[in-house]
Amino acid sequence: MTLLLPQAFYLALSGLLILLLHFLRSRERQRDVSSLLLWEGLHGEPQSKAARLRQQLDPLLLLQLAILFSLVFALAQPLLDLPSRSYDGIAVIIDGSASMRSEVDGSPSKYTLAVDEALSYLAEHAASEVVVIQHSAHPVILAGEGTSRADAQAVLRFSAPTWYGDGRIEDFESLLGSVGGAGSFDRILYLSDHVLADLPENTDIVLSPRVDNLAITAFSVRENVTSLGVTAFVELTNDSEEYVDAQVRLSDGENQTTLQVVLAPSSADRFSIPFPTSRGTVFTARVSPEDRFAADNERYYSLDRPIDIRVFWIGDQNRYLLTALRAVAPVTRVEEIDRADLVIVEGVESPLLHQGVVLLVNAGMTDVVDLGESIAASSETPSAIDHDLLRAVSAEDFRVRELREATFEIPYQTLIEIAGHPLLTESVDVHRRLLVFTADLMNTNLPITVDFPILVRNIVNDLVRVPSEISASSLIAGDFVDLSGRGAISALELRDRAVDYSAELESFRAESPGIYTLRTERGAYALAVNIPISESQLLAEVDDTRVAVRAEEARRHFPLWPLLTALALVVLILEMLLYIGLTPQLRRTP
Amino acid sequence: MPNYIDEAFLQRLANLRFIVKGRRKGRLSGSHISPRAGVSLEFSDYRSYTPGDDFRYIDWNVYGRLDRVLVKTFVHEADLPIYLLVDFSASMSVGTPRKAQYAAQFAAAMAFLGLRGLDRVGLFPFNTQLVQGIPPRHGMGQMGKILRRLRESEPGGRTSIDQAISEFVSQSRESGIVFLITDFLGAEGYREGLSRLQFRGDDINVIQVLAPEDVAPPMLGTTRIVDVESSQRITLTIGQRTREEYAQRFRAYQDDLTGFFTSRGISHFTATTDRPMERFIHEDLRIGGILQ
Repeated sequence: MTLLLPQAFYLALSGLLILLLHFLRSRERQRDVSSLLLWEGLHGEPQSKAARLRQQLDPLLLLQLAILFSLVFALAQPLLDLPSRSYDGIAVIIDGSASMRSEVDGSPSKYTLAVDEALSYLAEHAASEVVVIQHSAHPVILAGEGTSRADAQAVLRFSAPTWYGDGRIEDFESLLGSVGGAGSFDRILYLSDHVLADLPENTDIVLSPRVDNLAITAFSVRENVTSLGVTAFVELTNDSEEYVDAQVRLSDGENQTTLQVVLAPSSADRFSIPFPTSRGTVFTARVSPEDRFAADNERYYSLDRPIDIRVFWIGDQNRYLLTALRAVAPVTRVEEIDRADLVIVEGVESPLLHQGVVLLVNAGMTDVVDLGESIAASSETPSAIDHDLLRAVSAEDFRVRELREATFEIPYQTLIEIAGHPLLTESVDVHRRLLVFTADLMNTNLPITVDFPILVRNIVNDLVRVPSEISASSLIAGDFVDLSGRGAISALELRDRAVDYSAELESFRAESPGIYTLRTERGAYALAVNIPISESQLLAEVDDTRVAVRAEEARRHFPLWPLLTALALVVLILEMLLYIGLTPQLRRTP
Repeated sequence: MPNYIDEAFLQRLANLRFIVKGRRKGRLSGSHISPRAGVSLEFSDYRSYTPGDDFRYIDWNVYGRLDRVLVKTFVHEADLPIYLLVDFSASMSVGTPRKAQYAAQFAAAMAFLGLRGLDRVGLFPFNTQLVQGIPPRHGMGQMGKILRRLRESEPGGRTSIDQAISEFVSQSRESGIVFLITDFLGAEGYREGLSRLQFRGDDINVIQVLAPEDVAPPMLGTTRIVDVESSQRITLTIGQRTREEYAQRFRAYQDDLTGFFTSRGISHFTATTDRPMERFIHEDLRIGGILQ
């Protein structure tokens, strides 16, 4: 027997009140007789304790207590376990998608609850063979043909939900087909938090309870074009019946910004969050308050660029230039020029470099460019051509006290000139991109202008932090991720722990959400993996009648509360008859 | 207002009639044989002519043969007054149904039988004294009066059988069949009254109506026992032992009653309210020789 509401037994304490009233009333007991003729002189019973107890055993009291306990038992909603059925084959299909990780009352998760339901179902129904399938976007057979009931129960106990999305009915049918088809099982038990359409007729459905959910259902980040920083786009979904005062915290690992919003019940709203102070590549959006499905309270996004800038620096190190670089992305100084994304030569003559991106600041390069005498230019205004590297940059605001005359041995394009002399040039060939800044930064006003960091960002993003060929901005848990196009892979990590990948196929399966770090010879890349949006979207209403009937069949429990209520009614009538029949004189007692 | 007699109940009583012990006087013609010679088809005896006798009853054949003037007498079928003395004291309010209701139903049945047999029936409710008695009369109109009075009578007051009978005898000088319906549980006496009735020549039938709890009180624990007539009270712890003691007393009391009635030749019947009225009438009263 199962009690759905055992707390109802606390109401049995009201029996004490009945007893109290009974004892209070018993002191007033009085009985009218026709005459005292036959009563006078009777001795009565000895007032021993035992006699008093006997006197208190009033049948009406017993019936009142019986009524109370019948009602209390009925309120506890007892279910009578019916004799189990015996089947040849049972297929247990348990939903292993990410939403089954939601916490529910009295159980760590919907999945645990579903496992408990499946175990009790198998305990109630004898079967010679049990097949267990974990259904999700990537369904697996946990226990195949020929598995005994005991083994299937063990498999269920040790199974765990995935971070994948919901499975499709086609996968369901396909997997069942691989183990003999739906027709080869007497019963199919389907445990999930949603109902698939067109389930076979012999399916018993057990639905997990619905839980309120606050989720980020969309998240992307875009770099600002005309200014520093980024702008994030967030969609929040409130799958509850109440207004929620939510806070979204956007972080790039070092800086963060927040947004406070109020979400209407059962709604989804989109927000744009400016993040001008960001200089990161990997972004995390987290919404609070946290709810029972924490996995979708946090989502990740990564720009399709390397995480940091590896710089090989020759000569002086101008701190303004370094600060401008760090405003774009974390800067890592490397000691080997072959591992550098960017080579900066400042104030000295550089040897001939054959490949990579090279920035010469007040510096020459052997056989490529030679810097001559200084030229005073303090009264001149620079002019610029229309070029991607100069977007959102106003060269007219630059002031240069003096620059050096440059002699190029290779073709070049002047991007900014001043008094007919190039200030910033670009040379491009098959192996190398060369930028030459012909003035000492400290002889210009660039470090104190707002356009200088933008110019540096344009140079870094366009020439150094080149997006990878395959986007990995927002991947879905369970997907196979292509790692090619980023150079030779040296490591793949998630939260500083190594993740297995196929070096041969240059791919791996993202089993769980998070920021994966891919280290290659061309730099470190971030791979943002999230749970599928479908796991967090507003749940559709379920056909309750259909599910309730099937769940009832699955349980094979018989509710006893109507019988107990009827019993209480019968006993109540009996008590009334007894009261009228046996104690008429008591009723007439004034 | 309780309905004491229904049509079906009356149908089942239709074949019953009273058995009268010996010949009794009666004023009017009825169905009972009277000790007085009268006019009927049944010859009774001869007696000497006395002045004033009806010449039609002189047997002229006897005069011719014996030269004596004799007058033929015939059996006189006389009516009998039936008196219903019903106790409506407070003690009759005990029981389920109440003893008063049972007594009233019985009285109604007896009234119906009497009136149907062309007898006169009177009703005399009493407690400490008679309460608005209905003198005996013929006819079914009397039945309505009796039923109405029975319905209107509510139990109350104390019981005094001697006093009530004394008043009854003074109001009704003609003897007849007397049904005394009471529980005999009053503190006052009854022997003197019954002796007076017997002396007058009434045919006395005592119907003792009791409630089941009068016979065997339920076990109630510590209880304040209240006399409904005197409002006197005693507190007792009633258990098995007390019930047995009560039962002994009750048996002794009943034996005393029965002994008295037997010694006086008075018919005595005991009915408890849980016994169906019809069975009581058909079984007890027929076996007891009251009805046939």
